[in-house]
Amino acid sequence: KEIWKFPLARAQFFFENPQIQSLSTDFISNFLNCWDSDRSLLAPLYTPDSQFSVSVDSAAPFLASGNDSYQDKNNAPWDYYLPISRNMTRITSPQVIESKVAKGNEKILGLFQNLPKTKHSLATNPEKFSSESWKINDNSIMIVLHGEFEEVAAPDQVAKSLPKGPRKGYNNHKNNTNSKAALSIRTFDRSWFIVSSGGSFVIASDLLCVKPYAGTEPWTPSSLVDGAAPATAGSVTQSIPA
Amino acid sequence: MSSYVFSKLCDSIIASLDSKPPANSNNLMNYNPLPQLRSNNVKILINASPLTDKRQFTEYWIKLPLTQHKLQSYDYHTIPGMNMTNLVINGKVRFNENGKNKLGESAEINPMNGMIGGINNNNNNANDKQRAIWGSWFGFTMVVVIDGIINENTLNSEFINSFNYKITYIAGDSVMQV
Repeated sequence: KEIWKFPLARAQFFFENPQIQSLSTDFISNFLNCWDSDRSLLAPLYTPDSQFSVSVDSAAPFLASGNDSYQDKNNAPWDYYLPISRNMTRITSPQVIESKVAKGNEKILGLFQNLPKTKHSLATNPEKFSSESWKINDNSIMIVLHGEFEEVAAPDQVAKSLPKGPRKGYNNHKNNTNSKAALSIRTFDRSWFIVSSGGSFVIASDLLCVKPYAGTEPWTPSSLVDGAAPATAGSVTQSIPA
Repeated sequence: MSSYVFSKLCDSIIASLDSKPPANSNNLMNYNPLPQLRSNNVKILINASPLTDKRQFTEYWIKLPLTQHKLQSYDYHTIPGMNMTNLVINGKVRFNENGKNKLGESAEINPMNGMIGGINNNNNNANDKQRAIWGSWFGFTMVVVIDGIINENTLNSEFINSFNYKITYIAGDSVMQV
């Protein structure tokens, strides 16, 4: 049976050390509070060199198999996201790729306005989230968050697809209808590359990937599922060098 | 760095993770599933469990059945002034459920044997001789931090300083347990 198991049990969280745990849990909690209430409050965390982009992976494995146990949650279209998505398996033009990354506070806040307003239930349902944080070097860390959010309202600014030649008029009309796209619940992964700067810290890189709702099972520690102790596999240990 | 290089890198990472160990490789000398991992000073996480170094990653990965990864999305930022790149790859993965891991070790109970004509092969390289039985697709996310500037000619050099592999969707009808 061991053949069909990952050699180490899955965990909900990984923090490289207590300082990183404290910093990243505070960061995630405060960031999501602002993200859900007023995204402009996040402006001081970004610099003129910071980058933010969104990518959409709309082809979830269970959708492809026709076995979508979350079908009722995955009927909503991706209209709000597709015009701003930087999924590079779908776009190849260097100019378009470049245009989809927001650089600097102003453009980053602008792109934030293109995303639906959200609610993350981190405080009330922490089991719906999973995160990992580790040190990159002496002055930077990576914080990764996986989980779900509920779309609660349309974006402040609905992004429009680039007009396409003679069909420009048609596309404009079509985009006008996008502002009424249905809201849904989505799964996401987000990674923040954090750099300390004079006693505080800033976000150098912020990558958000939005996906169809896929449940919370991967975030549940194995020990809670089958009662197993954290696994050890041969010489594989449970520590990561500082 | 152009997006073309990162497209090639994503393909290279996936191809190496899906690669078979060489025949009769009872030691790990000839198996290098992620050559881009740095040998020293590297951070590796799989499903939020840490591994200490590249060798342990190899030991871990060879214990898994053969995989097929399919790229569905990637995005990256190169951080100005730091020569580092944050690369996020999303996609789906499925596992060979014929009851053998990459070392050819069998499951104690192998309900698949009947389905593949009762083959009970103790050969260490049994994966070459048994037909793969691919299970359902899982979802995965990889967060990869790259040190330095890469180009098409150095795609197999050791430049990954962080590798965070996470199963983000679990197929309910697979025998594979995460």
